[in-house]
Amino acid sequence: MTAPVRLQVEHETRYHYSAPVELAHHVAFLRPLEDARQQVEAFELSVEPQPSHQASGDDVFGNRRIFFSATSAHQSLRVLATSRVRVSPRPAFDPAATPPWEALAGRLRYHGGAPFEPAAEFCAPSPYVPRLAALRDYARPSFTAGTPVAVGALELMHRIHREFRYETASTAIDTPLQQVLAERRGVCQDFAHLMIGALRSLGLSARYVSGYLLTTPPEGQAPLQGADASHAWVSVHCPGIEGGWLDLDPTNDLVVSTGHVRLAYGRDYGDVTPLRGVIRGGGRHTLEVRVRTTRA
Amino acid sequence: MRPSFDEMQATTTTVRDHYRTYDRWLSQQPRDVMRARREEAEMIFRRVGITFAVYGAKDEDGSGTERLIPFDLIPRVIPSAEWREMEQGLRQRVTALNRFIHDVYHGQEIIKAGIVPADQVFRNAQYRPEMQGVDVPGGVYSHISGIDIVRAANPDGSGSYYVLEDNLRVPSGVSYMLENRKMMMRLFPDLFSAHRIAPVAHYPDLLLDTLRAVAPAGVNEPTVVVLTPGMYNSAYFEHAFLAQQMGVELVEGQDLFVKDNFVYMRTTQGPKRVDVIYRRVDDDFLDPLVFRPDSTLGCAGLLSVYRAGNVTLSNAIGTGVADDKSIYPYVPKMIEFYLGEKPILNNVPTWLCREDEDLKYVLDHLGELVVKEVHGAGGYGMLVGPASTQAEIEEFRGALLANPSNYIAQPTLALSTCPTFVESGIAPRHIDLRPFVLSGKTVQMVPGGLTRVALKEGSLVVNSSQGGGTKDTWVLEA
Amino acid sequence: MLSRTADHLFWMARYMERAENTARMLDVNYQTSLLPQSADMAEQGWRGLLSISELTHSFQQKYDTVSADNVMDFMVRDDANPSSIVACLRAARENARAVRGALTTEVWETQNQTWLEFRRLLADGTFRKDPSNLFEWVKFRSHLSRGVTVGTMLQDEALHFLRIGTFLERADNTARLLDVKFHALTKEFYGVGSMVQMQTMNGMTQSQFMQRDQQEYDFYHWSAILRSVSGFEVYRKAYRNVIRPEKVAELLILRTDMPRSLAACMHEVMCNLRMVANEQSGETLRKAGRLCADLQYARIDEILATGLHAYLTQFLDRVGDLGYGISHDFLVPVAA
Repeated sequence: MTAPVRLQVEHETRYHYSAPVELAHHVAFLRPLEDARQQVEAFELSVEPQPSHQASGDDVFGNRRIFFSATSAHQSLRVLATSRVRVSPRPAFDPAATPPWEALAGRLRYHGGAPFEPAAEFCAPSPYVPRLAALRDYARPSFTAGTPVAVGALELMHRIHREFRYETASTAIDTPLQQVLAERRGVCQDFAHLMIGALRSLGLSARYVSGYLLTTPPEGQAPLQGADASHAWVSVHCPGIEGGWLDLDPTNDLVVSTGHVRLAYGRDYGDVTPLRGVIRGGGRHTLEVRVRTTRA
Repeated sequence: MRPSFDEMQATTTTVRDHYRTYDRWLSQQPRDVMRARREEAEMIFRRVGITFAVYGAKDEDGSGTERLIPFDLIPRVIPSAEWREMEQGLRQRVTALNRFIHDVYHGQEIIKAGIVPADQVFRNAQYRPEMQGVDVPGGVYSHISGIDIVRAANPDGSGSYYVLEDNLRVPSGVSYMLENRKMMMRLFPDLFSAHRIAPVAHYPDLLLDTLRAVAPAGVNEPTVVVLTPGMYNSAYFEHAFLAQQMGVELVEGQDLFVKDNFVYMRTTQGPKRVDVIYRRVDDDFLDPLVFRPDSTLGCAGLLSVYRAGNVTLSNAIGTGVADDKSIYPYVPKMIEFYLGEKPILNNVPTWLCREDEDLKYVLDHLGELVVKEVHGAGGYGMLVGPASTQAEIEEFRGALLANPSNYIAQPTLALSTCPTFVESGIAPRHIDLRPFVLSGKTVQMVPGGLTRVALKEGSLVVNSSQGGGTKDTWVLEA
Repeated sequence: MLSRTADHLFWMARYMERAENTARMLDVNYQTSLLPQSADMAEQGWRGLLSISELTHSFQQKYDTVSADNVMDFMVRDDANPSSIVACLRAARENARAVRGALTTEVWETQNQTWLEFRRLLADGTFRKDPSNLFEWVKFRSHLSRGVTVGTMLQDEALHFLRIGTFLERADNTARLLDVKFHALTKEFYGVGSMVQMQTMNGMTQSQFMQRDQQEYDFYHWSAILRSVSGFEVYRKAYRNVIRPEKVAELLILRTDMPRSLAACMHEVMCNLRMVANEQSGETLRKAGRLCADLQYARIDEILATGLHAYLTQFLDRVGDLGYGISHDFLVPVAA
C-alpha cells in the first residue's frame, strides 16, 4: 500500500441512568489527531441532550480535548463522534538502524548538566503503568545486549501477542497490571499497558495511543481484534525512525499503518480516556459502545 | 555539632538585649502563678475548640480524637532590625519562587538556560501539565507562602537565619499564630504594656485583601470563599477560623457546582457565583473530572472554569512544583536568575543524593547528617544521623541505596533554642519560625509568624503531628 | 447562607424537638400505665406509642413482647432506633457540630452539654429508677435550647431555619400524638355518630360510654394527654369546664393562642418561611399558606364531622410534603 487511505469512523456511546442526572460534566478525547501522516477531513461531535456548555482546546500532549456539560435533567446520554481521516502509510524503515537500547536508555536517564530529552517524559511510571520488577524480567529476553531498540520492541510485541490471550471482558478498567501479567490475558488496553510497562522498566520511552482499527481487514487477512470498539496500542521512542516514534499494536502483532486511526497520545489510558464524566444523580447506569471504522 | 544558639541567653548568666525586659518580668512571677496561667490557657483553648484532629485516633464515642496543640507561655522575641532584614529576604524569595512557577508553566527559560534540571520539574509528581500555558491573575501562583526559617549558631557565637523549607501548597498554622497572640494578651496584659510588640491580628484583613486583589479581571465585588475538606480534616479549625475572621463563607466541595463555565455555591437564596476560592484541598482532589476521579472534596469542571479565567484559585494549581525538596537547592539561583540579586536569606547547605558525588559524600557521613525523603512531609521518613543508633543508620543506608534520587541531606543544624516551660521548670528547647507571606498585587506579611517548638528534650522535630508545640512570636517595634 | 449550613440547622432543631416530643409521649404513656387497667389496655397503650412513630415493625425485629420495659428501652436508649431519644440527641449534636461557625457559643455549648449529660444519666441508672425524671430533664433541656437560640442568635436566616425546623417537627409530632391517643381512647371516636351521641348523653341517659369507671378513666387519660403537651392548666384557663374530647381537639388543633397547637406551629412556620423566601420557593410558600389558612378558618365540628383520624392523616401528609418542599427549595434535597 503506498497511497493514502481514507477512513470513516463512527463512535457512538450511550449511557442509560436509572435515575435522572441533574448535572453532568464530561471530557472527551474523540477527535483524531493531525500530523504529517494523518489529516482530519471532517469531524462532528453530536451530544444528546444538547449540552448547555461546550468548549474544546488542546491538552499538554497536543490532543484535542472537548469539555461539555449538561444542566437539564436527563436519563440518557448519547455521544456520537464521526470522523473522516486521511492516513498515509508509514515509509519503510530498518529496525536495525536504531540505537542500541542501552545507549538510548542511558541518554534518557537524568544526568546533571545534560540537555533534556523531551521523550524522557514517557519513561516514568504513570497511574495505570506502575514500575514492576516482574515487567523488567519479562522484557529482558527481547532486549539482549546491543539490541537496537526497534528490533527489541518488535520482538517484544511478537512475544506478547504469542503469550497473552485476548479475551473480551476478561479484565476491568482498574485491573492491576500484575494480574494481567500473571493471568496472561486481557483486552487491548492491558496489552498496551503491559508493553509500555515492560519498555519503561528498561529505561526506554513509550506512549499509550488510543484510536480505531479498520473493521474489515484487507483481502486475505484474518479479522482483527479490537475493531468495533475503541482500540489501544503503543508508541515506542525510536530515534532513527521517521518522526522518532514507532507505533506497534501488540494485540494484533502489527506495525501501525493505514488500518489504524490515531485519536490521542498520552502516558496511559487515564490521559486519553475517550469519554469520561462526573454526574450528579443518575443512580445506576448502563453503557453501550458501538464503533465502526470503514474505508471512506 | 556546634552548641545551639539560644534566643534568650547570650551566655549562661547574661540575657540578650531584646529579652531583658521579659527576663526581669519572668523572674518576678511566682512559679505557681505561671502554672495557673498554663492551665487557664489550656482550658480556654479546649473550650473554644482550638484543636486539631489526630488521624487514626478515636475516642469512646467514635469521634476523632481532638488534641490541643501545646502552647508555651514564654514568647520568642525577635529584634526589629532582624525582622526587617528577614522580611526583605522573604519578599525576595517568594517573588523569585512565583516567577519560577510562572516560568515552568510558560516559557521555561530557567530550564532552557540549564540552571534547573528539566526532569526535576517535569517528572515531579506535583507538576501539573494541565496548567501549561494557563494564565493566572498577576502571574502570581503562591498567594500564601509559609517559609520555614531556622537559626543556627556561627563559630563566633552569633546566629544566622536559614530557610529550611518552602511551603507553597496549603501552608497551615496561621490560626495558631493569631490565637496564641490573643491568649498572651489575655493572660499577660502587663507584658504588653511593658513591651512594644508589633501586632499581628490584622492578618485576616491582609489575607482578604490579597484574595480580592487576585480576583478575575472585571469583577468589582469579588465573592471569596474558603474551600475545606470538612470537619474531619486535621486543620479544620483553621479553615473555619479564617473564613469567619474574613467574613466569607466556608464551603465544601458539595456546596459548589459549575455551570456555564462559572463556579456557583448553593445558598438558601439560590446559586451565588464564586470568584475566588481559597482552597485548603490538595490539587489532586480539586476536580474529579480531571484529577482523582474518586474525589468528593472538589467540584467537577472546576479546572475548565479556572483555565477560562472565570475563577481564581488560591494557591494556584501546580505550585507544588516549586516547594519540593528537590527544587529547594536551586532557589538561590532562581533569585539571581529572575531578580538579578544575591539572596538575602540563605538556604541550608544541601546534598542531592541523585547526584553521584553528593551521594558519595552522604554515604560517608550518614552519622552526621539529616537525610530526608524528597517527597516526605511532617517529619516522617527521615534520618537524624547523630540521634540514631548504628543499626538505624545501616537500615537507612539500605533504603538510600535502593532509591537515591528520593533523598536529600543536610547538616544537622542545631536549631536555635528558646526557654520553654517543661516538667522540671524552664529549659531550652529547639524552635523554628514560619512566617506567612501574602502575594497579591504586592507582597505583604504580618511581623513574625508561627514559632514551633520541639517539646522533647534534644528533639529537632517541631511538627504538631509529632508532639511539637507553639509559642507566641514577638517582633519588637524599634 | 449555604444550603448545607441551613440544612444542618434545620435538622438540628427538628431532632431536638423530636427528642422532646418523644420524651413527652413516653411520659404520658408511663403515667397512664400507672393507672389501674387491664394488662391488655396497658399493652394497647404501648403499642399505640410505637405506631405513632411508625416503629412497630422495627420494634418487632428486636423484641418479642410489647412491654413497658422493652418499649422504653427501645425509645430511650436504643442506638439502632433512629427515633429514640439517644439517637435524636446525638443527631442534634452532630448537626450542631457540623455548623458550629453558624451558631453562637451558647447554642453550641447547650447542645453539646445536653448530649454529654444525657449519656451520663443513661449510664448511671437514673432512667431505670425514675423515668419521669429523665423525661422531664429532656423537656427542660429542649426549653433551654430554644431559649438560648432565641436569646442569643442574630435574627437572620440561621434563626429562621432553626425555627422552621422546630415548628414543623412539633406540628408533625403533635398531630401524630393526637391521632393515636384519640384513636386509642375512644375507639369509635372518629365517626359522626359517636360525636353526636356524646353530646346527647351528657348528663342525661346512661350508656356504656358513661359508666362511672369509664368517666374517671377518661379524665385521667385526657389530662395525661393535655399534660403531655403542657396543656392541662391551659385547658382549664381556656375552657373553665370539665375535660371534653372535642374541646381538647379544638385546643390542640385550632387555637392559635395555645403554643403547641397545630395552628400555632404552622403560623410560626409560615412567618419564618416568608422571611427566607427565594425565587423558587413560591409553590412551597403557597402550600404552607394554604395549610395555615385551613387551620385558621376551620371549626372543630367540621373537622370532627369529616373524622379526626382522616383529618390528621391528611394533615401529616401535607406537613410531610411541605418538609420535602422546604428541603428542595432551600436546603439539601431529600430523596423522596
